[in-house]
Amino acid sequence: MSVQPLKKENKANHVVVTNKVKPETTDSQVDDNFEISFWNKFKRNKIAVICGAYLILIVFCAVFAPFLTTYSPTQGELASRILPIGSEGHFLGTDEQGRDMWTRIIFGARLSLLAAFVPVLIGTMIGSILGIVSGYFGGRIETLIMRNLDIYYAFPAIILAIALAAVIGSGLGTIIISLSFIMIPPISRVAMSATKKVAHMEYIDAAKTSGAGHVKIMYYHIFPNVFSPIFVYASTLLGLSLLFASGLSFLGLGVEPPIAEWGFMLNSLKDLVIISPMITFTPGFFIFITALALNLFSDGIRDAMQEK
Amino acid sequence: MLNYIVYRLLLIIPILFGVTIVVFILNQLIPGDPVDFMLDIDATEADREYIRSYLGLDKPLIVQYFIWLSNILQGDFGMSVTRQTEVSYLILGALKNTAILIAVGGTIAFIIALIIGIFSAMYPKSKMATLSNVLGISCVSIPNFWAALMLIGLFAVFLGWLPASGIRSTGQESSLLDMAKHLVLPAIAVGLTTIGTMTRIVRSTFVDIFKQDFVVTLRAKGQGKGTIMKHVFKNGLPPVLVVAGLEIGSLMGGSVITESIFNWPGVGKLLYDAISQRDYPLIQGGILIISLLFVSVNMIVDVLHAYVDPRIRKSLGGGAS
Amino acid sequence: MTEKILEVKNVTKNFKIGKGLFNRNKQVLQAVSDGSFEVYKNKTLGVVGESGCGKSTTGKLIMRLEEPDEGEILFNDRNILDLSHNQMKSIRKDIQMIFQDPYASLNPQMTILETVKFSLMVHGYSKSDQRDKALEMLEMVGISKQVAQKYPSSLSGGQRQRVAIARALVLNPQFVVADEPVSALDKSIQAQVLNLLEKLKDEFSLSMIFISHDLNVIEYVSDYVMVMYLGKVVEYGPAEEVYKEQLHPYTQALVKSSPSMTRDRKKSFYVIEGEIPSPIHPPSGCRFRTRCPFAFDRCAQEVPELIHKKGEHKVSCFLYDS
Repeated sequence: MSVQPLKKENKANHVVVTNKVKPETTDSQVDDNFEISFWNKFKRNKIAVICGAYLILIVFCAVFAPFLTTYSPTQGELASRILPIGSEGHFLGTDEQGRDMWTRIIFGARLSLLAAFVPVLIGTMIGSILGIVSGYFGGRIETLIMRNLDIYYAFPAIILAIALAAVIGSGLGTIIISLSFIMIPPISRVAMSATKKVAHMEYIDAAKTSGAGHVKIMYYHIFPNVFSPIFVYASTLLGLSLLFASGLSFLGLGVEPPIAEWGFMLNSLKDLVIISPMITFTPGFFIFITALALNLFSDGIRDAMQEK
Repeated sequence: MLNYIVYRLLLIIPILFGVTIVVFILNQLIPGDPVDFMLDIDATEADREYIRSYLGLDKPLIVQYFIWLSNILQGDFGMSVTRQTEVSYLILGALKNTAILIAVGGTIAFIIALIIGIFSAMYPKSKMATLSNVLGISCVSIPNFWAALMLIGLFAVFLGWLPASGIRSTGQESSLLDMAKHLVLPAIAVGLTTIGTMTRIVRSTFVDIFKQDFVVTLRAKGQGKGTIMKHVFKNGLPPVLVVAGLEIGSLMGGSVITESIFNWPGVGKLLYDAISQRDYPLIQGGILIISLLFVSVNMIVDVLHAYVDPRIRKSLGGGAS
Repeated sequence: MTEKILEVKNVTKNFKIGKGLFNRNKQVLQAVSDGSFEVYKNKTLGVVGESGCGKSTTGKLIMRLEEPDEGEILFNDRNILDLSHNQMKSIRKDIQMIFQDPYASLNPQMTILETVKFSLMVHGYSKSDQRDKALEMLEMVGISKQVAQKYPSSLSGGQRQRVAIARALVLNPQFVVADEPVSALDKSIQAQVLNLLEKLKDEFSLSMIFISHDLNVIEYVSDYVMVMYLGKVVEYGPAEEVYKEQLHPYTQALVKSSPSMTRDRKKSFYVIEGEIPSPIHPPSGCRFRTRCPFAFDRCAQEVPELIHKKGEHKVSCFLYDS
């Protein structure tokens, strides 16, 4: 407020009488149907809608993979090795062991999508708790949590994941754990700054005066109000998570042969580049367009949520 | 300004300390007895005990940590198990090659991003703007290991224009041209993600600047395009360069995979080989050195950023609680 | 004289500003300085002053939303500052607060019913009790069952403040701190909300602290009035007496500069000379001296105490020191 609020009040008093008298209910009737307006905005973004449709399709293929192919994802026919795209019976070709590429792709999608999604989920859960707690309490607790997380910023994310994976030993679980780890610090920061904005609102004070404990206040009053910024941010990490997960898998830190997984498919095909230059196209292309779809889709979500 | 540099330096001490603790703990988490990695299976128990006390492994963990830390501070990162060479020697040798790769790849990426980004900020409705959008999002979505494999397939195998791996041709005297040829594909692969992120940042930075009052004023005064662009650059380049500095970290991360595909003898390849051979002292040393470099680069970038933008200096100088 | 329900003794609250490792000039803002006053059962104490005078902080200290640096706050003769978090919980039922900004005081992600139910949930009422009591309370403030299902974003400012009142009263408190409860509302709605508060005050036999910068509002609701300036209580007394005769030069100026519907429009408003000094570096001695038309040497050297002038009417000014 200004230095001379009394003087200000004069003005308000006179203006008010003339034009501010209005029925109580017309104040603000907008914004009631947030979900509806969100979908309307999102629908206008054609690219994001197409990406969403693709993502639904690829998840569908992954879930119903056994019904969408007649081949086995792990057993190949040696007679039909390294067939190119468009071959009869194998429209995406075959790999170095004569396994059908399409079959490997849809079965591989299960693990690849899982390895991309689960770390973001775990990172969001843990990161939200850490961020909300440090933003709500502030002071020493915030310093303790945030300075500890700062240490993990000192490692390039993928290096930290590689280091963890190297220590734990290879496996899909390893990828998920190490990627979850690198998702926590940035999500915590976003959750913390969102919480700080909310924590000083009067409704938090009101909740405190009701005698509610800290956990109840964080659960009922803070979390619902910081959920959307955390959600938007976490969704932007999905594409990155897929790239990291398949990258670690490509390095051989993920699944064991003969299991199908996109990154690992590239690993086993990479030595054949000398014989068949385009052999690595298919699995990499699926990683690429899926990451692209995730990025464009999350951009769409962000734009629709932020647009007022 | 000096105050800020001192402050920033003091701030990284606990972080560096934390980094060493994390790396040390990681090393402790490795399953199995480290002595097993060093001795033959038929080594006697007495030999094992000797090695154990020689390496200080019989002491409490906290003591082991400080012994290890003081060794590191003296530049002693231990011995590589597989190569019987000092880890620091191996890493320093590889670091040079990584630096070349990152510098060339990063610079090319930065220049491309700068041209496309500024052009599309100037003409937001042009084809170039659309291209920058597509390029931006594609480059951040492309798996760089796949891009590397496709580049090899196309340019090295199918067209046969460029070598697919290594840093120099075998049986030839090393020449600059030869190395440049070997550098092209890995440099492109390592810089792809950077093209994506930088194009987006350059574009949004310059879009903001073109909207600022001083540009409008210059236009209103009837200044020529050259003069306006000079002013725009003066305002836009520093913040863009800061982000470019931070990209060095992601380039270092990306180089691990790229180097192992192209057999480029850098730190990334060394680390990758160390992981597949379970050479833990080398992994530990490699990660530690990369992280230390990463922290230092970020710190320098922060200081430069503060130099460019006095507001940061102000807000951070007093705001660290 | 009626019974005291709340007694505030020598309370001081400082805020440290400019934290940081390297910030050598840490500064202290004195929000409330050595404040003492009391509130009587079933009476309303109006607290008035310009923004930044510490009146809102005083309210927060009583709610223990802020912890005072010094002093005692006695509620029914019990010092609430000594109570632990758990002991405080039972007291919180009896002391409730109505906040200034009805747009910030309601959780946007909770329906009106959920907001009112929350306090009941905290105090362990059964699910059906929560619902019944909340709806009953909402009806008392004029919010229908249908509106109770809505989110705050679809309510007007007046409706929101009614909800805030319902939330405060649903626990059946003895004491309410109302921090500028109508200042964010349109003038036309202010009266409705004030009337509602007055009505509920009688029905619930409440004691109240009513904080406002608006002298007209304070006059309407208060039994007692306290005037604050830069963290100091400068005048305290029964409302009638204070409005009849202002003792402190600041109160006099405040009344003169206050707009009134009955005032002659042609007469220009009185404006207090000078600007409010910074609470970080308040003037020595009497804090009002820099703007006081009657200031003399002693005002700069000594801090005036709050002394009884006539009966319960107290003032802190050397003009009355004889």
